[in-house]
Amino acid sequence: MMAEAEEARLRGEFDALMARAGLSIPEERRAELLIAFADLRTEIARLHEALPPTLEPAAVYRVERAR
Amino acid sequence: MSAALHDLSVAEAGRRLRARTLTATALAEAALARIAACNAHLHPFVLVTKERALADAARADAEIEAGTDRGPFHGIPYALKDIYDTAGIATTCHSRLRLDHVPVSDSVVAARFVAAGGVLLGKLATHEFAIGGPSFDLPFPPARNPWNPEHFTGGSSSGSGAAIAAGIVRVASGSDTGGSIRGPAAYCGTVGLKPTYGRVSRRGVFPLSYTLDHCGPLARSVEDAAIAMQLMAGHDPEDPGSADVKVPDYRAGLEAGVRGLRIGVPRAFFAKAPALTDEAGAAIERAISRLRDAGAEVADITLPDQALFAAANRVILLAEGFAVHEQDFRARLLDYGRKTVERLVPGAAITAADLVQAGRLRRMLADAVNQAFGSHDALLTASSLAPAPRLDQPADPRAAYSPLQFGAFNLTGHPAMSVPVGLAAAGLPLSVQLVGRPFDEAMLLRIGRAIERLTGWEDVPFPAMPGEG
Repeated sequence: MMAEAEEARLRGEFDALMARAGLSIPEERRAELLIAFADLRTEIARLHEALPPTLEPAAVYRVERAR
Repeated sequence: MSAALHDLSVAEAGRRLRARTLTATALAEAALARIAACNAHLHPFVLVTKERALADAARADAEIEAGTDRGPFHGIPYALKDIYDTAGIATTCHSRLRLDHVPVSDSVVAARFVAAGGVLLGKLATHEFAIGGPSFDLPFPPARNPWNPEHFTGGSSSGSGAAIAAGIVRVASGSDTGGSIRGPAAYCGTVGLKPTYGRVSRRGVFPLSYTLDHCGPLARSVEDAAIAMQLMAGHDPEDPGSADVKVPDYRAGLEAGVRGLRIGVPRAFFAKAPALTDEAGAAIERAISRLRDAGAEVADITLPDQALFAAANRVILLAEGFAVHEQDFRARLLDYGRKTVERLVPGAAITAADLVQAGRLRRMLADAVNQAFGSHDALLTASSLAPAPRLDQPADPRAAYSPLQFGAFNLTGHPAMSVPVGLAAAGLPLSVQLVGRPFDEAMLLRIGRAIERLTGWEDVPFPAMPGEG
């Protein structure tokens, strides 16, 4: 039951994201894309767990001296 | 083609060309004959530029005869992955979407090969747009592994690995965003060097991921790779990622050995990885043992979890890759190969918050690797965790990311090189990966050359082609 609910939620999220991106995914391609999407979500969750969002400095941008 | 010719190193062929005991035309004709003998079953080339090759060779012969010396690559055959623009020659990215694309100018790397007097044999198979694969629904078949054509070459520089292992060229260009140079090198038993981010210009090479793409060579030997790097490396002010850092003489320290060098092994990266086979694990340990015997100090080190590197690499790759293809995905999704869609379209699901988080982790992880270099000259880790799988093995959508441990150093930008160390019982190559300080490709070449010698790889005969006993 949980698995079905999770799968339905995953499908719903996937469909919404594809629609937002303006993509039309043929039905026969959805199954393989859903697997890849689920796997990607797991990896994304890992990133968010690894580094708390409020931990500073974020260190993603550095001003360099003009040459 | 005589076995003697295709086994000649770039340096040795160059010496014979200068001594006038060999001509560039003879080398080119031999390579073209070898393509004719094996392209129909191995498919490394999507386009053979026979007329161009013979013209390049004739020019090289005339120049050498007239006393002009363009350096060690003068008169040497090579081939380019088919995402490198070549003026007047189709550059298809192995895709239906680019079949009619004929660039008006050379990519920077292609131009450097021309300036060095190389002889262009043609354009090499790749996974479509350098991702996905092996695929059978594209305009060209996938390259096959010369060590066993039922097995995968790795990718995406699949034709580059296959062309070298088949003895057609000693050097080919590749590109590497998550392992696309080092993977085919590992599976095909060649050397594959992903230079430091910014070391080789990417201008004129079709992008997969703007901040992860690296151009570099695959080569039959470490010395061949050093010669190729010498001509490929250098600052390009028109590539915003290009670094203005002096290029050293890559061959100068090749034979310096490893005595006194400190090599760190991030063992947790590979030791408990489910995909690691006993043979691949034993090959890594043998290489470590040989390096120790030769005087290197080898010690285990700890880096952050490999899965974190892989996840950040994948999120950035897919977000940037999706940005490259977004318009075409909307307009022509079904013109792409199935695996390309499967790999790249999930990029549409990455949010701004995900990408920001990956960028923050990227800095943290790069700092952690840099710290390891405070007390080590190089790192040694796994390349492939197993020999090349069969082409018909069921594809796992995650397979491009997990069993091959390359993406970490695309993320951090450190130079990394796959070096063969032996053959598995099934006759397929095994390898290790070396990682260096930023812009210290010379150290990787030095250690790689030692590994080539210490493991006996330099004496391993390459697979015979049809008609060769």
